[in-house]
Amino acid sequence: MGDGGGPQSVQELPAPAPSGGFDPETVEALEYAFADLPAEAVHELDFLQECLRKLDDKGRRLCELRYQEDMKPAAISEAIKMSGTAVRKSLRRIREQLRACVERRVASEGVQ
Amino acid sequence: MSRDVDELINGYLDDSLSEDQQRELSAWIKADAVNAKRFAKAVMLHDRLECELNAEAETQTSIEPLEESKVIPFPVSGFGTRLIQLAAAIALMLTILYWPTGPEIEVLQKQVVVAPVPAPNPAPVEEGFVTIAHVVDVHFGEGSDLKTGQRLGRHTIFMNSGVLRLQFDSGVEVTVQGPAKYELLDPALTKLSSGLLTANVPPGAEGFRVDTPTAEVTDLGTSFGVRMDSNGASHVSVFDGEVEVEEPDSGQRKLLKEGEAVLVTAKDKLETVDFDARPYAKVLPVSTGIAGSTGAFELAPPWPRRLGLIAGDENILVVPDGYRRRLRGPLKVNVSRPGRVDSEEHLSPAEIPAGVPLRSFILFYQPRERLPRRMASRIEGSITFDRPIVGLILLHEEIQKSAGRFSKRKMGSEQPRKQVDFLPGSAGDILTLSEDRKTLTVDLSAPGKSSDLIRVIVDAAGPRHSFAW
Repeated sequence: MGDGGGPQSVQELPAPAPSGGFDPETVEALEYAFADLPAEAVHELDFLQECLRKLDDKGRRLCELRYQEDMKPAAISEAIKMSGTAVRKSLRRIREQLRACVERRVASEGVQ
Repeated sequence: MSRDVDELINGYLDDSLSEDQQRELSAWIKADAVNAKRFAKAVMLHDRLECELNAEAETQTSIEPLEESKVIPFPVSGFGTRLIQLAAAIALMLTILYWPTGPEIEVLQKQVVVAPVPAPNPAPVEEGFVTIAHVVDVHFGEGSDLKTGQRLGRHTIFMNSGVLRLQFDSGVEVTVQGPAKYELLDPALTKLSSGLLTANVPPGAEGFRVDTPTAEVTDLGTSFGVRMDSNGASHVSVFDGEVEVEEPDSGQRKLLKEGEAVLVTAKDKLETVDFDARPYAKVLPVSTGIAGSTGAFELAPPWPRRLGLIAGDENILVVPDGYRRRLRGPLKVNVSRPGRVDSEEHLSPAEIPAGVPLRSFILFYQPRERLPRRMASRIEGSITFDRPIVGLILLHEEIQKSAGRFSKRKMGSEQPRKQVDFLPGSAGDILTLSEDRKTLTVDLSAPGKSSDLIRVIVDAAGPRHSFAW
């Protein structure tokens, strides 16, 4: 297909499993929570791209594995020879670090 | 709360909670609105992180050669299904707050093509450097009877009427509206003597030039329009990115950015004028690969970008989303087969392998008034593309994951929002993909303030190639 090579096919996949997760009351509580967040809560995250650049190599690599490669902590731990606990703690620390960075930028520059 | 709540929240985000932990988190969220808000903010950060990193990956590799296709299993993620339940909540906020107010939402005419793989021995100009991509109601002038798929080298095109889309081997796309005289001089130099055109220039093909009798328009990585008026003046409008306009006799130059326009008169004057996309209304759908539409569909204008200003109760906006891309990694779609989809049972999930050239369009419906579902009206329409629809992305998880893969800017505008509802009876949404895959018909329930977002993935291979399933 295309300009590159031979025909490519779309892989047929199983239908999604039934939904699980939160009960309706929790979902309703979250609906209110999202609705109550100010518009700035979305725009504040515009600083995230810049904050990502400040991560060290290890943090950056973990983010890529988690978000670009869609790997869960167990798979990441095998890939980079860290314990699962260490991976989970690192991901948590990275999110906290990014949140703090965004908040600092908002405090110093405000939201566009 | 026996456990550290941050541990629970992060466990949720990493899909590593046990059932007990999930229940504990749920109880904590319900216990206090402050807790729910804290959790909501954590989910937003997580979603945006995913958007930003995926967009970076796509952007960094947009000029890489075609990868070998590989098939990756389609895991059904428990995390994903949980997030689907959150979609309505997230959407409620983002629908109201983000899309209408986002200052730089990716809109029309960013169909910049990924740079082609350089050939080891570039073909000589005589073999052609342009392919006729689409011909719409064209009455050609003398010596210009052109057909879709035909190759052209140095050539002068005369059109009495209609719209013609040209695909340059460099990735540049030019759409011309007749009456027009347009000369192809070499792969990076063309001349418009009369008529109107739009050009989309990909990274790597910057420097593409459109000369007119009064101006030289040099692209700096962008999308722009050039129009000759009856007085022989050139109008240049920038939809995205930057172009440089030069009046060759006087040497006057001006750098134009998106939303800006100039007029270069036959008397060597270069004047700033107001941006106006209306003269391009007929060309723009063709330039994006839209063959036609009926009913509620309306193409979003290239400027302004604030869709909230134009979204309404009676239109479904069609927003060409970002670049024509050869995907680096696989892309999951929820519908891959023709037919009617009015329940989750009708979904036909599939994974498009890496390497397939694609375009993405967002179909966006956002009514202004909030109405109870029982009072909801319906909104209908059909849209036809000039290439087959490869797949539809309807569900929150896939919408979220695809955000940023076609637009490199403001991926946040594509964070989760309302997905289509497959509800029984008259309250549900119905989609139908035609057998030839080119037409999508939608019949949406419109309960008000509850937007629907559908991503349509269209084959973007050249006209001489056919998509093989």
